[in-house]
Amino acid sequence: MKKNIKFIGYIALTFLLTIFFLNLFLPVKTFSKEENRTLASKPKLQLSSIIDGSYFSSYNKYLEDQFWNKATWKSLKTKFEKFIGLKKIDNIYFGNNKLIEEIVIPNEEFLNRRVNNIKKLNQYYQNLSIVLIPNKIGIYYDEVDSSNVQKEIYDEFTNNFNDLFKINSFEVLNNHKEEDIFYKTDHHYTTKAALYISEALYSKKIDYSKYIVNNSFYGTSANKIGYYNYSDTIELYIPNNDIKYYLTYNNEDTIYTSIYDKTKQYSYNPYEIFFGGNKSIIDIKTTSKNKDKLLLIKDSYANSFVPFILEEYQEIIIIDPRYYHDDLNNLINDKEITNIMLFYNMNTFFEDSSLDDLIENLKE
Amino acid sequence: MSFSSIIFCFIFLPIVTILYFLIPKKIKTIYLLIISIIFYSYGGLFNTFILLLIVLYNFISVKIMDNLKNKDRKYKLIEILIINIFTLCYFKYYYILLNNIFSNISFKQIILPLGMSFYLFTVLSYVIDVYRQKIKCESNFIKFSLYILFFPKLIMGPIVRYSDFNKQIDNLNNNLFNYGFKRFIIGLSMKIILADTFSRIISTISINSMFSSLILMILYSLQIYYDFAGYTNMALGLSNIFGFEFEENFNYPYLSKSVGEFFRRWHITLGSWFKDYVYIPLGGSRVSKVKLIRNLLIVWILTGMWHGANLNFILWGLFLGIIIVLEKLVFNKININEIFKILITFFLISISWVFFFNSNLNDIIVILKNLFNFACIIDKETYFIVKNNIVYLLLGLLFLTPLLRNIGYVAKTKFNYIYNILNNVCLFVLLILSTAYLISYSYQTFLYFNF
Repeated sequence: MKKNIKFIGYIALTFLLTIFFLNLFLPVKTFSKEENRTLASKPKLQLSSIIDGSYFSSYNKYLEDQFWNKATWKSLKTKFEKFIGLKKIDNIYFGNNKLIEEIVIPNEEFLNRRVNNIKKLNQYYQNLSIVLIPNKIGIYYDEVDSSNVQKEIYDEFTNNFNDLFKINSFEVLNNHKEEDIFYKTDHHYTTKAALYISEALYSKKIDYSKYIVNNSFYGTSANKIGYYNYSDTIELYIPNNDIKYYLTYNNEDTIYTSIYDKTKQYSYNPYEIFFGGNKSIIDIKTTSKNKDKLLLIKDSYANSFVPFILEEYQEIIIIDPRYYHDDLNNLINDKEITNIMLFYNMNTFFEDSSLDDLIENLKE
Repeated sequence: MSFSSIIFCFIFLPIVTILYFLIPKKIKTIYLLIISIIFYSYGGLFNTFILLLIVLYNFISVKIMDNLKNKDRKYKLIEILIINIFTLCYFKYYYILLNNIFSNISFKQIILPLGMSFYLFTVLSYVIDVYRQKIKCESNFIKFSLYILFFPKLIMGPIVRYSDFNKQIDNLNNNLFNYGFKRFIIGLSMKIILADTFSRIISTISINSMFSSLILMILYSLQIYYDFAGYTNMALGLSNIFGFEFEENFNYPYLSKSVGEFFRRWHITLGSWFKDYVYIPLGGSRVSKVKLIRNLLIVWILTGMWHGANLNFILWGLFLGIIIVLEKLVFNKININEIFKILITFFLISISWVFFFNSNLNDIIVILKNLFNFACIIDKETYFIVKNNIVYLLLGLLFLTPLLRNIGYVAKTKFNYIYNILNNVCLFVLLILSTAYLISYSYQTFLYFNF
């Protein structure tokens, strides 16, 4: 009696076959904007790869990557999980009308290494300052049912270097908690938040003009879980001053006259409008009357911050230790650096050890 | 090829099924054999070569054995058994043994061919049954090969007996097509929506309180059940699609009232294999107490070893063996409420999974120790994880019982028409959801693949 179900075999088989043909006749994609990575290509049919079995596993990877409407399937899964009450999917929390990324908690070993390295750097170069920006979870901790762990980490860490931290970025951003200081769908803070940080750091009011770059921006967090219920607007705040500047990337010869790469405006990752994305080293020369030369060691949070500080320095060298592997000492001497600033968001700062590698490789 | 991989679900299965119904009846057996070989060759041709060699060897040797009498027959049996068991031990234990004895030398790793533990047990049951003259020796090589190689059961069972297979091979039942897909979809969802989710939750739990230990143990119980029972449902469903109907491998095991009963309802075909080919030949339970204890411990240590050569599997088997001995001698005489019996059994089985899942002895100790951590009963992280995933957990617990199935039976007798429509709709939704989950995560392999 239990075995007389009708139809489902035909329904299922039709479904599987339909998807089979859709996958078969779909144009092959080489890049996924949702995942921000190059997709697997069709493996070459070779006798050796069939013998050792690698052909079919590569083919399965290729299928996974090329699956018909892959992003929609992901969204469907996320919608279902949200429906059954999940507050957190793949390290992303659903906050109030925003996606909040999981906090990074460093272990003791990591912390000790970092503290020692910063002390070492400070011994060599007295003019060191640090700016650590909290992440969304540090400001909106109450929306993920947690105490403010990031604030605790911040307080504990800054205690080691009281004079290196010129501002308390938690306080600065908390004062503007009700404004759009973070993208709803991306892990970055907004240009507006960078403006507040700059104003606090240099104790000045910045006069600016506002431009909208893209008003349907879906950031990394939205793409990670395939949740597209709201989108963001990327704005540029351009300071109203008469500072001129030019810059080079990665020590190449090409000279650019703008920090903004307009070709990225409608690209899959419009956040790359700043410097065209992450670069290993950027050299900016300005017409500022100030004689200081800044070495900015940073992650992507500094990208939207740099435009506000151009008038403070004659030259700004920006390095991202994730991509920069040359000797720091030579750079500092060659460029006659007067100030060094570390500028990071806390999650990257407490997760990425490339900064430690950079400092440990310093030649005495 | 894993049943829950994209290549299987969206290429292999639809094409193989369509072709199966288009080809003439005469060539269906050989067709099934060919697609089974293609299915197995997914992991490389070397393993296929070994598998075919084993099939050929056993086909010929058993034929020779069947023509012998008395002592010669027995010697031939022993030869066949030794060669098969040696093959299994070589691939399964040799590398680990060498590595443990000479830990300072590195050896070229020997990887167990996929499904060898299952297909060699199938072979052994055939060899012994022919020897005992319970079944006739198969003279058709195609049929014999298909018996061993039939892809739905090749890699992770169930371990099918030849008598069961032989009844059906000439008489395939094409009316099971819809039912087969139903089982396949249910199995796929059990694996992809539940087991894989539980596995991801497990990876986020850190053990630092009594609660976290308990939750981890419950999650182990759920994951391994939905993983293995899900796989078995897919295997039996696929068998149905191609006209076969094999024995069940699971029967709501977590509702058992004793650990002994649990293993009569969990991986049933492996349990009955050990019963028929090890336990009963040793004398079974109609022997003295000392011998009974010996027999049970032998069976359970072997069961543990079948799962792997690592110490933790042997501990797992030993733990269960001891519990079952105690049950036979002491516990079964104690009279308590049945609900308590179910809960205690669940708890004991969950403890056994701690051994099963952790190859590191220290991890096992930490988990078991924290069960008695009265200093920290509940921790915030685990609390959040449980709260976040409460629906998954409740669904996981719900489907351990036949509650929904029984409601379905009642509904069917009262509202047959609506029930049928709803049933089809639900299954289709499950298929869509499973696809969504499958695409969302690059697939995770089945736990039982290692064995």
